[in-house]
Amino acid sequence: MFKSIIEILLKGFFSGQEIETTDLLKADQQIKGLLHNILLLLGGTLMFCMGLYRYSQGNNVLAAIEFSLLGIMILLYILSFFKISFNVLSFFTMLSLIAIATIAISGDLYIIGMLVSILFPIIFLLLFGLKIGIALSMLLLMVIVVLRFPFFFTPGFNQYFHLGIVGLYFFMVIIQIFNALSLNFRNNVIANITNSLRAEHDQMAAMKDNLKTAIFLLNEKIEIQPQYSRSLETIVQEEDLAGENFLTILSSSIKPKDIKTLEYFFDMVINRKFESEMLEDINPLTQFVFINRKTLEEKTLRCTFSPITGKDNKPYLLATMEDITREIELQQQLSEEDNRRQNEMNAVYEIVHLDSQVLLDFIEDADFEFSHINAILKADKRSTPTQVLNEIYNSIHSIKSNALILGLNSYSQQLHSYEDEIKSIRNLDKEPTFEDFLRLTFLLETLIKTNDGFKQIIDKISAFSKKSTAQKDEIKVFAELLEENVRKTSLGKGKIVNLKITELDEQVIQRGPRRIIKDMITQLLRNSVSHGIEAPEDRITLGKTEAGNITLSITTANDNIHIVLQDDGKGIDFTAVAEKAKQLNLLNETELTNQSKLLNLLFSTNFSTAKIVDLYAGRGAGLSIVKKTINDMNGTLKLKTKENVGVKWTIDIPFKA
Amino acid sequence: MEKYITPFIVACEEVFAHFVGTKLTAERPYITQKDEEHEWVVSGIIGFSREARGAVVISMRKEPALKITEMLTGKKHSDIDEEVIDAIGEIVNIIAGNAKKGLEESFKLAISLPTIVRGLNHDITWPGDSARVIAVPFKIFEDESICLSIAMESLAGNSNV
Amino acid sequence: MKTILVVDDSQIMRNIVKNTFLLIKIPCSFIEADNGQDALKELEKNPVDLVLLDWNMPRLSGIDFLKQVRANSKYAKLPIIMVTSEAAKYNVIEALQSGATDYIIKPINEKKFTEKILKIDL
Repeated sequence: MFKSIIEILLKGFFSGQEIETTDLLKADQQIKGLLHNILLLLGGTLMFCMGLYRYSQGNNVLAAIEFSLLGIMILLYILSFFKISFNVLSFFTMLSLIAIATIAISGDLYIIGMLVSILFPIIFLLLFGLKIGIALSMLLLMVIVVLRFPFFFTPGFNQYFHLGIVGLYFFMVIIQIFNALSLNFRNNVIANITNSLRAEHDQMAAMKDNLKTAIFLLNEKIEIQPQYSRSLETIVQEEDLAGENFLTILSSSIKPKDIKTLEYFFDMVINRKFESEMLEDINPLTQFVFINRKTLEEKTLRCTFSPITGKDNKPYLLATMEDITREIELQQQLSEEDNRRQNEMNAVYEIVHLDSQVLLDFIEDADFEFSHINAILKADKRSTPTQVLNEIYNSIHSIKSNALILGLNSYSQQLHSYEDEIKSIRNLDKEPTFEDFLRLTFLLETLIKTNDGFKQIIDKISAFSKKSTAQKDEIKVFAELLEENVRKTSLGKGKIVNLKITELDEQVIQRGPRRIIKDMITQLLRNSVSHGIEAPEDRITLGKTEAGNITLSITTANDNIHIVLQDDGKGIDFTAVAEKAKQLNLLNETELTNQSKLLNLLFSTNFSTAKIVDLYAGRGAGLSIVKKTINDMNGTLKLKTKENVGVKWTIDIPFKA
Repeated sequence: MEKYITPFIVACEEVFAHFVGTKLTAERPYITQKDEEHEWVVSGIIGFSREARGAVVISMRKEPALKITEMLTGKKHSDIDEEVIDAIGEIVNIIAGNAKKGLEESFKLAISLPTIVRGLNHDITWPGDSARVIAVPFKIFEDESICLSIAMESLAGNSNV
Repeated sequence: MKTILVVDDSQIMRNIVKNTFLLIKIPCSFIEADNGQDALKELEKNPVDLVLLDWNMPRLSGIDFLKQVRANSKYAKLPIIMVTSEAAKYNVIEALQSGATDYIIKPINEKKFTEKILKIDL
């Protein structure tokens, strides 16, 4: 009850407005409004009393004037509830007060009237400021002087009184002027300080917001404090982060058990449990992949944390966060570039050791294979995608064999990776798709480019050396290549093998299908070394020479190229073949003992008894290619094998000398 | 590297399906020499730069060019004239526009305004230091074909892309 | 003369650690244990000035040993340095949280090791 009376009174005095507590300007305005209302109240009350008094005295005219003034004051009070310009309203209020003063001064109550009017300048200058306040004060003074004019010259008490009042009035005005000036001055000083503080604050905010690195504070509960850099929102792509727990923002980026460990870390930093250097070292967020909670977009970020004491003397973490995705990408690119250059250097070293004629042969062979592959790719309906894939594989395999012999290891690796690609497509067990071929084509281009690189190197080298222009004996090169092949393969297998070429017909090399024959023989030689010839210790145990022997003869007879290749190894290991066949479920029980069936298997694609698929053998491609090649050329292949004695291959291919 | 050509392939298929109203079937890609003789009479060249630099070229022979123009304008042309060139240019523009969005977002590539080259066995100035171009043939109109080719400058770290 | 307890399941590693100490030229004697359980027993038997602790061990792992030792108020001030090949920061933080005084990563960099030992003020 009491409370509501107070509320009504307050509402009344403040003209229905809420009491302003935060905005100082508005509060100032409200106080003026309060004063205004109080003056209305006082003035109104006075008029009411005076009016009654006059009326009881029978002075109806004055009473009427006084009651009208009361009416005006009530009206002004009501108007104060509406949004009328305060200056206009209070001006009329002042006029009313001046009117009251006039009445007071002119009648028999003039002494009180004149004394009270000294107070008016205070009100005028307070409500209206310097200029209007002085104007109104002068106006009132004029009114007083005019009304009491005669009394200024009446000697005696009146003269002293009136002159004294005017003097006091002036004095009051001057005091109020000084008051107002001093107030203005103080106000200006405060305004300046406020402005410069605001400017500084804006500058800090601008700096903070324009830095790409986000700066923010975390409290002991790891909650983000308000006043964080705008860039924090940009990096984590979330808004309204104040109060959010930093760890929940990381919830998609870090494993739950690691989040727990992060809490320990923050605790260590914020409570300075270890030296800052150590803490920097073990900061898990120095570089990490941030995954956005909502969009799952990934970025690489760097965060740092330092302990700091807040204004409230509580410990906080000063954290920074930077998006270093681009930086890391560049680093990776640079190191990839570095690697690539290293590989290139290695490749060059490998090439430089080769005889240029040998390298030219290799390049030519590779070119041939590449054109072959391209032709197959272009040829539309003739082969199924799987067939195309196999053809490509065979060609690449061929190039790889040559590369290996020449010791072009980096190139062999590239080719090997290409074979792997093909093999992984094959393993999917469905037809190769357009995308598969697209990828293979692009990779092929890279291989061809490397081959081009070899050509460039040869050109550069031949510019310097004279030897390269000399014609090397083709036969010698052919034989050397094969011997090199055997040497390399046997080295890789930990065996010692000698190749003896007993006969080599020129015509075959010069006019025959040199490349094809070379490939076939290479394959067979490799097979012998890998599977046929035993390890040196085993050979000694068996009473054989430590080194294995392979003999090769290439002759022409009866319109045929006649190739005989014989090794003194252990012969075809039918047990191993049968085992593999059983493993792969390729034959049934009875077939497993049938030697010719097992031999056929040996020649099929993908079949290999080698336990390790390495560069040299074991892809199960070699023998199948041999068989296919011979078939394609309408030739025949005879295979003779005896356990522990060796294997003899006899190949006849039609040939017109 | 093939990641750059895939948006163009997709854009081609979509644009031909929606605008021209005919189906394109991508066939096995192959490698061709830059200066190889060809039978294309008109090519639209779309260059790209920034993360990688190169060009994508859409080429076709006379018959498909005429047929496409007919499908777009309703008028039959007997030979390659300005209207045909305009029509083909339009198609290439739209393809470039379609591919552009995907490329700019994913790969930071900037695509240039396509240019049209014409004439029998016309020369295309390919960027890049390699002598070869990767070509993707598309079957169109049962027995015709158009070709989408790409060549790029080799940049750091691109050899294993 | 300081007593150092070296806990590591590899004899080789223990030797390396001992050698590194000898290079620092602080006179000390060594007690060795190849797993956490035995290490605890050794700790009870003899007063020890410093423990060098490996992370991955059978029976009682490094971190479990650490927790058990710290649970005993008698050893609250005992310096324990974690010696680990696990450079993963999360593991290191866990160790420090469980009470390790410091950590060092294998292969041991002599200079860093010296700094850390000297910091402990044996």
